[in-house]
Formats: sequence, C-alpha cells, structure tokens
Amino acid sequence: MTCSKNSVVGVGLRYPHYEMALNGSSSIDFVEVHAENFFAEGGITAVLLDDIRSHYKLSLHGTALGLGSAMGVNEHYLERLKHLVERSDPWLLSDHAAFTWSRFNHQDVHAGDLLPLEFSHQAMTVMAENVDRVQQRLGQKILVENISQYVTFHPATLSETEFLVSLVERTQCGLLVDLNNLLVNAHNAGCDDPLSYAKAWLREIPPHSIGEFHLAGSTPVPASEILVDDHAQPVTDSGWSLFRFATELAGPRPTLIEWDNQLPTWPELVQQAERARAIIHEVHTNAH
Amino acid sequence: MLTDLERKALQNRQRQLVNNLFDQRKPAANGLMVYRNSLLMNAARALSLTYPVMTQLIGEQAMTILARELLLNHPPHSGDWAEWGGELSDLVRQTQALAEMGFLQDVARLEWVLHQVGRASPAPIDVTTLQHLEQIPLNRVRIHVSPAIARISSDYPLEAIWRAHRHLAHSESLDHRGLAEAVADHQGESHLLIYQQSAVPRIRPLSALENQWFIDIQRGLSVAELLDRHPQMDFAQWLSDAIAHRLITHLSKHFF
Repeated sequence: MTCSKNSVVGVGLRYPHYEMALNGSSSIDFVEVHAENFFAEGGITAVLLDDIRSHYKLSLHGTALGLGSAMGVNEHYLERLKHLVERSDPWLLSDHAAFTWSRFNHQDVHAGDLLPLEFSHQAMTVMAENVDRVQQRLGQKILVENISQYVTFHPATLSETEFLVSLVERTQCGLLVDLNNLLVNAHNAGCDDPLSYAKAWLREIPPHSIGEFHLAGSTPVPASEILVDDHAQPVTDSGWSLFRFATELAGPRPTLIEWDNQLPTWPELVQQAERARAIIHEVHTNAH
Repeated sequence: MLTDLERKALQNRQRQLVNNLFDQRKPAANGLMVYRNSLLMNAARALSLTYPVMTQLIGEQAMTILARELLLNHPPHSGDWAEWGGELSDLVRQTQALAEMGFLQDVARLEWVLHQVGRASPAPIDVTTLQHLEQIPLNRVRIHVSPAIARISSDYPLEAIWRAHRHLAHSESLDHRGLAEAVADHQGESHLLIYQQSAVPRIRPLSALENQWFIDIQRGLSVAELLDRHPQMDFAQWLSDAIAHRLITHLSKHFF
C-alpha cells in the first residue's frame, strides 16, 4: 500500500466559505465545486474559478450530466461542460450514476435532481454509451458516483455493484464511492446493520476501480422514517468506521467532505477533512 | 446494443417517474415525496438567488409557491438552475394575488436582466473601427451596441425600489414610508441601463433622451441621423463613456 498522491483530502467549497478558503491558509489539498455553478461565460464566477484554481487542486463535480438518461446526455450541456473543463483543467472530474434528462408536457426537461436508475442490462447499455460519449468528448476519464435513492425504479436484474463494475469494465471510467450514500440506502432498505451492508457492498467493488471517496453526514431520523442524504451534518461514527474499512480495502484515495446545508464554519469543515487524513495515515502506518 | 423498442421502453419508464415528479398535484408515496421536496427546494433556492429583491418583497413562502407553478409550466431544460426562471415576470403578471403590487412584474424583469448581464462575457471593443468617424461620412457610419448590456423602461421608480431592498437582511428594516412616497411621487416612465463592470452587473438611470438615443442606435440609424435627431446629445462625451463602460462593440461602415 502506498501513501502518496492518493493521500489527499479536500472539501466541497460552498459560497459562504469562499472568503476564508481563498484568503487564509488551509491544510486541505483540493476543493470540489459543482460544475454547473461555473457555466457562466463571464461575471464574478469566472473570476472566482481562477482564484480557486490558484489556491487548490480542483475537482469538478457535475450534478446534471444524467449519465443514465435513456434519451441521452443533453448536447448543449455537454458542450458547456467541455468548455469549462478546457478552461479549468480539473484534477478530478465526476458525476453520478443517475438519470435526469427526460420529457414532460411534450418538452425536453432536466429533472433537477439525481434520479435513480433501474439496474438492468438495458440501463447498463445506455449508461455505458453515455459515459463513452462523455469521456470521448471531454478527452478525460470521469468518476461515476453511486447515489442515494428513495424509490425502487424497476425490478432489478443486476445488483448495484454488478451494474457499476460492469460499467467500469465497459468504459474504463472510475468510481467515486460515496460512503454515506451506502449507509443511507441501507437504512432506507430497512437493514438492521447498515454498516455491515455497506462493507459487503464495498467488498464487491474491485479496489482499483475506486478513484475517490465522498464522506458526508445526514440528519438522523427514526428507523421507520426515510433517511435523506442532506449533507447537513458532520460525518457519523458509522461513516468514519466505514471510511477506515474502505481505506484498508482499497488503499488511500482522494477523500472529500461534502457539507451543503446548515454549513459549519470553515475551520470545522477543514477539521473533518483532517480527521479523514489522520485515518488514511493510521491505516498506512498499520499496514507497514 | 439495444433495440429501438427496448430503448423506447426505458425512456418511457424514466419519463413516468419525471411526470410524477413535476406534476406535484398528484398523490405520491414517501419516497417520491423526497424527490418532489428536493426538486421544489432546489427550484425555490434558484429563484431566490436570481430574484433576491423579489424574495424580499413577497417573502420566501410566496416565492416557493411561484417556483411550484413555474416548474409545472416552464420546467428546467438546461441542467443549470441559474438559467431557469426567466418567465417569473409573466407569472407574476398572471397571478391575481400579486396584481395589486403592479411594480412587482417590472422588478422581476429587472432582476432577470441583471442576472443575465451579470453572467455574460463582456464583448470586446474593436477600437480600430473608431477611425471611421474621421475617415468616412457620418451618414455611412453605424454604432453597434454591446449584446451584453440591456435597457428597461417602467412606469414605476424601479431603481429606487430595487436599491431599497437589495441589501436588506429582513424586510422589516425597509423604509416603507420613504419607498411609498417615492412610488407615489413618481411620474412618467423611468429608464435604466444595465451593464457589467468589474465582473459585476451595474444599474444606472437613463434620461428619456439617452434612452431614445439607444433605441435609435439599435434601429440602425447612422451617426449623422442620430446627431440630426438628437442635437442636444454630447456625442463625444457619450462615446467616451460608452467605450469606458463597454456599452458598444464597434462602428461599422455601410453602403447605400
């Protein structure tokens, strides 16, 4: 196990933290921004992006590619993403295993959310076609993230891990494994032991295919209620435990703290990233 | 490879979920409600970012109701929430509960234009074309206004309303009486120019003369015709300001 370029930690950079992140010193290695927030050709966001890049390695995280959309990825969206990628030269580039482009009231729409896929061979073919097209257009490997889901879309013929592993084999994309999404899905599936479910899920993923981890926390709810991946809390104890397990299994990977709602202070957010770094180092030390 | 039939079937299954998501009038199970709430919250947040003064004026709850209406009739189609919501002004006009505040429609229009101008890439000025003014008869020279600027006219004191609200944290701190007086005292049309400076959208009032000057430029009148029609206009000063603020892109010569 090596502990080098993959032993990097970052945070999702949100607007209220810009001043602290860009004017003070920080120990974090990279920041992730949502790609669509920087699509504007001019104005203040274009200036901000340059400022961010001068301070940190940049991870561009899309939320709207809709890689599983049966009607394909929107051409206009893809063109703008390509332009942004050329302009910002991101260190990491990712989006989700979700669909979002469809039709409503006789017009093409973007569904405004990460909608769940059916885990079938048909959906896999569509997803692989779309990922191929995106990677070829952008000239870059992308990471595809597992999502939290709140409805079962269709009777599955593949498991989620079979679906994702097959996607990697067919497209040579990487995976961004969101560990909190595994715990959220386990809760919502009624698992008695979400942590065990999540560990079993991880064992089914070839370690070499994992390119990044996401860590986040969700507002807790009673067992009978739906747990929503709201990114509004610190990483839970289960989340940290799962991260240690995942790092032991796959080795160190770029690791990001996602916190989007009820934002903490910048130092609190950085502290979460430093905790992730400490775990990576502990695992590395124990392995030698 | 998928057959056309398989692809269509998958598209239809995805479309069914999207229909259940956008048409929030239909009953839904808990899981679908999570998506509906998320969609509505995303839409309401996008509207409040694009229309901060409208949000101050009518409140977050009313903006959420408008967001729900917009989602149903004008769903997003670009994947960028910042590009959604341009029809808010029309929706405000059609909403009876807001009709008594006639200025709201114009505030919405102004905020959308500000949003658009603030995201635009400022068009460069081709300064070499300025020599047309000395080398070619002025009746063959035309001015080209930058596509990254906009003008708005209103029957209300739009700038005063906008400036009174834009930095407020809470609507309670608003000078209601002062604003009411400004609205009551206002007569005639007000005209505003919206342009970008230092990467930020700016507003400045235009006199009726300046506004008509811009209209005539955009109608394609030559410089000679403009000067003929607006003898009070200080062209040298206007041109200097237009270059400094990137209000124009170039001059062109045209032939009869």
